[in-house]
Amino acid sequence: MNNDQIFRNRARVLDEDLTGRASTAGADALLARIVSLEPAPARRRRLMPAPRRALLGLAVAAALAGAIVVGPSLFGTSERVYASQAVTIDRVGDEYAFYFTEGDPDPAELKKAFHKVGLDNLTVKLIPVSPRQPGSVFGFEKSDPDAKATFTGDSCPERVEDCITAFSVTADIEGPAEVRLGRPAKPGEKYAFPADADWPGEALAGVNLQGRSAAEAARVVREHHLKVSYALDWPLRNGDQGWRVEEDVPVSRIDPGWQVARADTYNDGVIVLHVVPGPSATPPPGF
Amino acid sequence: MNEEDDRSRFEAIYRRTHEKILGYAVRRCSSPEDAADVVAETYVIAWRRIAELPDGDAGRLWLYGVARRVLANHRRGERRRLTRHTELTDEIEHLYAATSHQNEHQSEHAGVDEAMSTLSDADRELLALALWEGLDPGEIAQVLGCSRNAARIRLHRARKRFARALEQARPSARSASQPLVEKEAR
Repeated sequence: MNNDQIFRNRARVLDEDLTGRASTAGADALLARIVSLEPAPARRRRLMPAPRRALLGLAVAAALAGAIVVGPSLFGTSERVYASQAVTIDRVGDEYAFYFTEGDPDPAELKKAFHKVGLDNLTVKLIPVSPRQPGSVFGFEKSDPDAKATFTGDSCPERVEDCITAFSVTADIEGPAEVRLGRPAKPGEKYAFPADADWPGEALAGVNLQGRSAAEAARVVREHHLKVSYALDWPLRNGDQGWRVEEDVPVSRIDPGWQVARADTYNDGVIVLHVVPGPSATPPPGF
Repeated sequence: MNEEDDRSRFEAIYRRTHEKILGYAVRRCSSPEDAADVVAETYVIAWRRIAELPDGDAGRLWLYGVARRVLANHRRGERRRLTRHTELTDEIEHLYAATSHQNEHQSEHAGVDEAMSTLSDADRELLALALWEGLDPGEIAQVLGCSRNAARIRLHRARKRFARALEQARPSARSASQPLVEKEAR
């Protein structure tokens, strides 16, 4: 018996053992309940602007109906390995889970905590984001292709009292890695992650530019004594929903009649108009 | 596409993939309740994102990807029970009971289980996708969201680490483990 067969034999069931299971009473009942739920409307998928896309992802907070620790038999269990005033670290299977209890922790203390668990090359950076930002902003930059990080802030108060935000990373990270977590920007502070300009409290609060022509949107922005910059949202060429953003596009390449998809702000007096190129526009190389 | 079309399309995909997703969950969860939760939550997400759910075989791989993330959330203690699915849980309980005879000869498998438990979650999942779900590296790449080449290399490394773990757990398994690693390396 070769190793593949040895591994395969440890499957509790194989697909061929489940023939007919798609039309049992249980499968029918589940299907009926699911289609009675409201399907979510199709929405524009927001991809990061090109240079930052690899660095940051947007983790959207989700309401959890309950939290129970589930430990499939082959997976590891949770063990507390470090706790200080600012951070608590658990070992969970192949990962370390970090729970932050201070909004602006001392980098030296974090470094000490990471060193304790052998993650000498891991750093955490708190980046300013709009205080109106729904969900949490979380990013991970690493040199190790197999390293992974997951934002877990939604569940953190259930694990550690007074937990503000949390994430987990694979324990065997090699090389330097940086986790970035969003924190509310101070008044006047520039954002490191874009916010919708029409959110309440933002530069164009209540001003909807979506669907307007680029020329008209630019006029409205200037009326608010703000500067305009342009980005082009090129549809993904593989047929997937979403788009790839070309940043800092000169106005000479923007057709005044093209439509604005959204307006972003970094709280720096500039509104970034995301424009959808017309059907005859030719994307630049790589888009 | 209107809601009626969405329902018909979702039902067709559900019927076509249910056994696969059920198998995926049952093979990875230690309890019938967890497996039922993973199946239910995977399809709830699929229904809510019906516009993104691809047709054809890509839909099955997309669902594996969703199930994988749902399972990862369960492992982190995040459980979202979005539907009642007691009938399905009951049926899966019977499935677990029917297959419990595998554990009657636990001592025979102790070395294998020990070797499997020493693998990282990522390695175990790669091997499981290849050997339990029967996916090739291109399909694994779609589930994991990486390149085909990365999936192939990681699978090769996972096989190598499994062979090494088996050798350590069961020295007598050495002869059986060698050819497979060499074959994969070619």
